[in-house]
Formats: sequence, structure tokens, C-alpha cells
Amino acid sequence: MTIHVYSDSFGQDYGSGAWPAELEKLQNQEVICNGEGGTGPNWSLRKLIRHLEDSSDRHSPLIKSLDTIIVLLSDQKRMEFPWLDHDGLADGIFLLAEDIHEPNTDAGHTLLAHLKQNLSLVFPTFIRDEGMYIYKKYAPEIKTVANTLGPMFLYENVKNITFLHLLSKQFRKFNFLVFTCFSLDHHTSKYKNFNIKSTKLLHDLDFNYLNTPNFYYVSTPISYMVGSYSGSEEILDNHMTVEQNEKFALFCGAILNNNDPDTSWFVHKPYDDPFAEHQGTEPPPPTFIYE
Amino acid sequence: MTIHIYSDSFGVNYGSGTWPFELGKLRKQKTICYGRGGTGPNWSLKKLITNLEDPLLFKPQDTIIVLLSDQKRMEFPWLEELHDSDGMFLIAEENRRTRKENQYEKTYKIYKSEIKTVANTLGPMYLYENVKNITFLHLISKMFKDYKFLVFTCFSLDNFTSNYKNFNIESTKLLHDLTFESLKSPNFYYYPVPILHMVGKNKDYESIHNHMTNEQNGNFALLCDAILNNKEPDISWFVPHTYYSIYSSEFIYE
Repeated sequence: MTIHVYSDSFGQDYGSGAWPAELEKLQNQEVICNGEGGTGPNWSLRKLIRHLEDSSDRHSPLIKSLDTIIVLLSDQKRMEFPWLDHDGLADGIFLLAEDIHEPNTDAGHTLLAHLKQNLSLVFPTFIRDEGMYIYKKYAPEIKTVANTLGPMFLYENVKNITFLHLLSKQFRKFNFLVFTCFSLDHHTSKYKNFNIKSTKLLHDLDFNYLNTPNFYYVSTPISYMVGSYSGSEEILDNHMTVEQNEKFALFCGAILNNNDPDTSWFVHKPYDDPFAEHQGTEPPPPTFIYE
Repeated sequence: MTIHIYSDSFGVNYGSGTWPFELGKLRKQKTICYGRGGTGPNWSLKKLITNLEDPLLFKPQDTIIVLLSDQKRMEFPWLEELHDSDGMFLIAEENRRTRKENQYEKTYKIYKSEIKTVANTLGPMYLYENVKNITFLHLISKMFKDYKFLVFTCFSLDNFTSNYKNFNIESTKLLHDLTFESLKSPNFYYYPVPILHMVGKNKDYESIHNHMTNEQNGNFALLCDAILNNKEPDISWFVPHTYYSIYSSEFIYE
């Protein structure tokens, strides 16, 4: 039996000490990571669908009976704009089309500094002078995409979860374990270009009924489990400390074994949710969301 | 008790002889149509969500009928009329059969590049957008157990989307293999035959502004009523096969 992980950086394989390696030991199963940092749900789901289609075709399927599929749904705003130089650069693009992030404002300068600092570490060959700000020239196109997606885009990850639930009914021999990396809103409602007027229904949604013998959705986002990077502890490239990696592996193992998972280690603090602390009408100083 | 209908043109008209009117008579309930011709699923679902967030609008035992239109009917910001959303993605497709431009293309072809960007950005997963809309409505039905949900799609789940090069869709296998039986519950029913496949293509003069003849309106109302009464619906009146099956350079106006 094999565990197949589809994710952004939270589930990318980082070898020894990372939760996939720990889960492999705990479950005594091979873990295959299909994640890539900076990618979004469409990237992950496309890969999953290709593997599922492949599995029903081949004599030696990639995903076999009783295998486990773990999906870590990243921010729905990480879309695959055609002019991106790299799949992993999908994060934060919609922010570039928001009026508050003009480069000649204080907010814009803060964002720019943030971009340079974060991205230069991850994509050293890509970064030149302005990092992701080179995509600012596409702001009108980005705005068009956001306007066209409109308010229903708030629910895109909800739809992704229910879509995965349907897939679990189609593929009953596989176990599905689904997480979101961030909250279901994750600032989306604060982006003016999506024209979202209310988040009431989103916050009232209850996903409990989705849990069945071969499907489990964990409603606490991973980023709320692990909190922000405080700088005092060493973290792996999947944004978790070694201890958190171990705990997260145990958490997954417990769910897969139908046991109550230990949640006592959750930080319960949004690690990258600046808007959550600023409920006013004006957006807070920009924090670029790069994980 | 009230029947609330969210739709494109297939459910917009509720005058005498239309299926919403006939269904209201059959069930002795008031019918309210929130539909609008040429609109897409986002338009309908947005309206439904706004209404669901209003605690006074629905009453227990009310029925919500959703007719999901083509997912490609998106609300581009420059559209002059809502019904213009249909066929917009076709403008950005290369290698279409050349033919005389209609007024519609003339007006919107200046946005060709933006339309292509939207399609490229939505990408292959957009093939599943209406599947996701159906499963999303299923989730909503679990939250609002006092209301009955009856869901249709107006067109097939693909409806040519896979033929649009700009979405970069490589396979439709999983889409065609999907079954929706598991979604059926006491207050949720998704009927898998698209409405267009039931009624075929009627000429404007044959229909009463919702693309169905008088007889088809009566039959569709009976079909809805049977499902809502947990009875086997009569499907003998469905047209024998779909009236179009190949992708062409023609705009798809419904």
C-alpha cells in the first residue's frame, strides 16, 4: 500500500524529519509526494486526476486498492497565469492587481521589500531587481481574471473539497484525507477585485457530513495548526518544525487508523492571516503571502 | 410553500403554459423565478447564496430548483448585457472556421487577448466546474435540510469545453466516468440528463421563450413533480438524441 500526497510546499518531500517520511515509518507504507511549493489547488487536482485516470487504465496502476490519497489544498488564488515563469510563482499574483499595492506607495514599498526578501531565497535565478513585481505589468489582466471569477470564487476551495468527496465515492477502494493549507477565505473576501459582499454562508458551512469510511476532511487549516514562523526554532522547508512534522504525521496516522487524533499541539493562531486581526474596512499593511 | 427557481433562460419565464407555471399548479405552490437568459452558474449561485443568507426568504418545506447553465458563461467585466456572456470564450479560440463576423464578435473581439488569459488561467480543471457546482449544492442541501433541492444542468457537463484549446484540457475520461448516484438524499436530487438533451433544439416560434414547446413544458413540470414526490419520472417524451454533437465554429446560443 502507498500514500500519495498532492500539495503545495506543506507536503513537498523534504526527506528525513519531514512529516511524509515520518508517516511512511508510522504506517509502514511508501509515501509518494506529488507536491510543489507555490502551486495551487488546480495544479494538485490536475495531477491527481491524471493519476486516477491512469489507474483505471493500466494493468499496473499507479494508485492501487487500499492506497491513501492525501490532498493538501492550497490557496485557491494560486492560479496558473500563462505568463508565469515557474509553476511555483502562482502565489500572490492577485495582490498585484489590488489598488492598495501600488509600488509608489508606502504599502507598495513594504510589499516590494517583502517580495525581494522571500523570493530571492527560493528562486535565486528568477529574482533580479524586483522579484514578483515584474508581473505588475499584467495588473489589468489579473484584474480582469479576478472580476470575471467574481464573488463565487470565494467558494472555490469548498467546491474542491466537495468535488474530492464525490471522487471518493467513485474510487471507494482508496482512502481520501483532505486538508486545506489556509482558511477557506484566506483573504479572498478582502480583495476588492473579486467583488465579494458577504462571507456569512462560508463561515456557517458545516463539513461533518462529508466524513465517510474512505473520506475525511480536516477542517482546521494546516497553517492554523503550525502557526507562524517565530524565528526562534528551526523549521524545515515545509514551514513546520521537526516536532510539528512528527505531530502532523501522527495526526494523519491517527485519522487513517480511525483513531481520535491529538490536537493539543495546534497553535490555533493564523500564521499568515494579517486580515484576521484587522476587521476594519481599510486593509492592513501588506503582507505578501508566500509559503 | 414556495418553489424557488435559479436558472438561465430555461427557467426564466413563468407565464401561463411554462413549466414553472405548470409545476406551481401541480404542487399548489407559489413559484418564484430568479432566472435570467444568457447568464451562467455563477450568476445563479450568487443569487441563491444571497437569498440563503437572508433568514426570512425561505420557509421550511420550500423547494429550490437550480438549472446550472454552461460554466463558460462567466461575468466578464466589460459585458454590456448579461446575456452576452454566452460564447465569449469562443472569440479567443484560434483556427475556427472563418465566417462573417456577427455584431457580437465585432463588439467583443477587442478583448480576445484578455479572454484567452482567463481561459489559460482557469486551465484544465475548469472542465469540472459544473461538477463542483453540483457537489457544492449538495453540501448546501446538508446545511439547509428543511428545503428540497432539485438540480439540473442545462447542457452536458462538458458542453464543448474540452474542445476549446485555450483551456488546455487533455482528457475527459474521468468526467465521463463520473456517477452522481451517491449524492441522492431525501432533500437533494441531481438529475443527470441535461435539459437540452431532453427537449432538443426547438425553433423560436415553437417554444414559449424557454426553448421548450408547450408540450415539453408540461412534461418537464411533470418530471420535476414526480422527482419531488419521490416517484419515477416519465422520460418517454425526451428527444431521441442530442441535436448537436460536434464542435463547430458556430456560436452556441441557447
